[in-house]
Amino acid sequence: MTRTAGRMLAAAVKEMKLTVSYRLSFFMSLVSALMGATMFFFLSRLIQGGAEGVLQRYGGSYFAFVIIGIAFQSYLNLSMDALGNSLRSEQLLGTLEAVAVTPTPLTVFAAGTALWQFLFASYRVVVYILFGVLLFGLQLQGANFLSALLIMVLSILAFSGIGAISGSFILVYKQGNPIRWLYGGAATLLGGVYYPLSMLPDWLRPFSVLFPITHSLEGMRMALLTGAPPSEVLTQLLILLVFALVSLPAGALCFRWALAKVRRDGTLSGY
Amino acid sequence: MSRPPPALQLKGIVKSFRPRRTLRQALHLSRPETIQVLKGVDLKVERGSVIGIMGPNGSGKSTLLRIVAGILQPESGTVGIMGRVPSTHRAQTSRLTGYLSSSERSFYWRLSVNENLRFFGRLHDLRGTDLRRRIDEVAESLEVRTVLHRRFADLSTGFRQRLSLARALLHDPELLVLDEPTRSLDAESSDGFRRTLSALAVRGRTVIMATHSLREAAQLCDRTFNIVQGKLVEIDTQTELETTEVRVELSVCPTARPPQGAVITGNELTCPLAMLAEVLGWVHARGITVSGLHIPEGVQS
Repeated sequence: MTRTAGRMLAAAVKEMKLTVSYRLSFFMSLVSALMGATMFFFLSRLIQGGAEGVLQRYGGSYFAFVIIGIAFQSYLNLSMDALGNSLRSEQLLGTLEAVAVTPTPLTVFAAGTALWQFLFASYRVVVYILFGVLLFGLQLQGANFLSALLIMVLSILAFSGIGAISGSFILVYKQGNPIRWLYGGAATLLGGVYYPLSMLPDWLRPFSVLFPITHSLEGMRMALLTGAPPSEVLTQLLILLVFALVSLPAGALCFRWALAKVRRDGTLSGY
Repeated sequence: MSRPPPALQLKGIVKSFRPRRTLRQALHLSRPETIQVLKGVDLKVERGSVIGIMGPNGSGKSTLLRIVAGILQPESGTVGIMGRVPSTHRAQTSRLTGYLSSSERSFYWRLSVNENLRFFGRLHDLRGTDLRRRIDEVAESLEVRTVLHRRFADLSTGFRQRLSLARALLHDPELLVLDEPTRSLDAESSDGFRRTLSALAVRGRTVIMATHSLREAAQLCDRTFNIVQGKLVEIDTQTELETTEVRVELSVCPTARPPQGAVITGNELTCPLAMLAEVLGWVHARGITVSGLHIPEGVQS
């Protein structure tokens, strides 16, 4: 095992132990994934029939449309929040300084912490989709999992770059994170999580292309619900690649600047 | 053959802090005054030495140690640890340095002691049998073996402080940076701590520590410095102990003659700091209550 992998694994195991040590919260988060899926099943029955036209391009089922939306939104939000959440949590616990004096770079430590969060979020995605398939008739027989995997990897890279910018704000300002606000709030509104983009007014729709989640969800739904091969989701893949190529170096630069600033100001462990 | 570089070398370290702006300052768009804590600190520490840093609260002791540990960046000046500069060789200098923070909150309170030590050991790239052996060794030498499987939250302050040292020693560093290591320890635990530090110095480890206790500095440190107006001034701790005067307020005026060197004026007894323990023993033996103790700031004992 390489040194970096060992350090990341240590951080992931620590995070898992801390999560599990809060037993009630851990149990409730397991159950809430089931409750979320059930709620959207009943909601989809309410609007069944009325939305089939606009959902035709995604196979016609609102439940399938929304379950993919919320399952992957939580995953993508995590890519964006993981670094900031991890640093914020260490700031509040008072352990960030103790980690910072080890040879492990803070980015590697935060990535390890995020690794557990990704595993935990994966559980939620699997529960949402399994629940949908087993209990509510979600059809994934024709899904193209290679396309879905490619979309997922590029989405995580694109969102992680934005996450590094978001983490830089947390490091410097502790609370109040405009990137999270912009991408969390506006992306939910304009990214097509709960409804297709065709529902947006004409003047608002062009703004949705500015958010990577729009392209992630579009590609993911095409891959999982209509079985689109990689060639059919090429546009989404290329757009996500451009987002990743821009956001990752920008995120790395921002994070380096933020770390140097808090070391200079003496506010690394402040909260 | 060239001489090995010193364990620690500081040259012209300057550090200032700018307090957060108040609403009034923000509205007037004025900048708050910058407070310069360290004003050009120079220090050269040879390997195997124990160095004490003293000074009143806010004088810059912790700031200096945090700069040495690489947590803080100085405005100007250079830090050299075994000839390496932390700002450019962070990973190497982190391996050479063990840092004990003055905060108890630097552990994961919901995890066991063993889980905490294993985690920090892994961040120092220790693993497998090496990691287990090091945890065993430090647990044995600091007498914390019995609490290894207890949650950190359930430990007494004394144990927590010992575990801070255990963590700092885990990767067997050359230089130990200790921020008030005996703070909030009882006399017995403090003595145990000092014995451990002396043993480390005998093994060639270098220690730089902040302390408020002149007696501790006199017992442990090869050289002791006071931070005076942002600069290090070397002090002779033995002379300081003999010349620093303390006042002991008593509930009644004693009639017996005090130990030689102590002077009674009314209900007040004055003596050199070096004699304090003897004087307090004398007072206690006569059943007199101490109603106040006045020790100059920064030299508590």
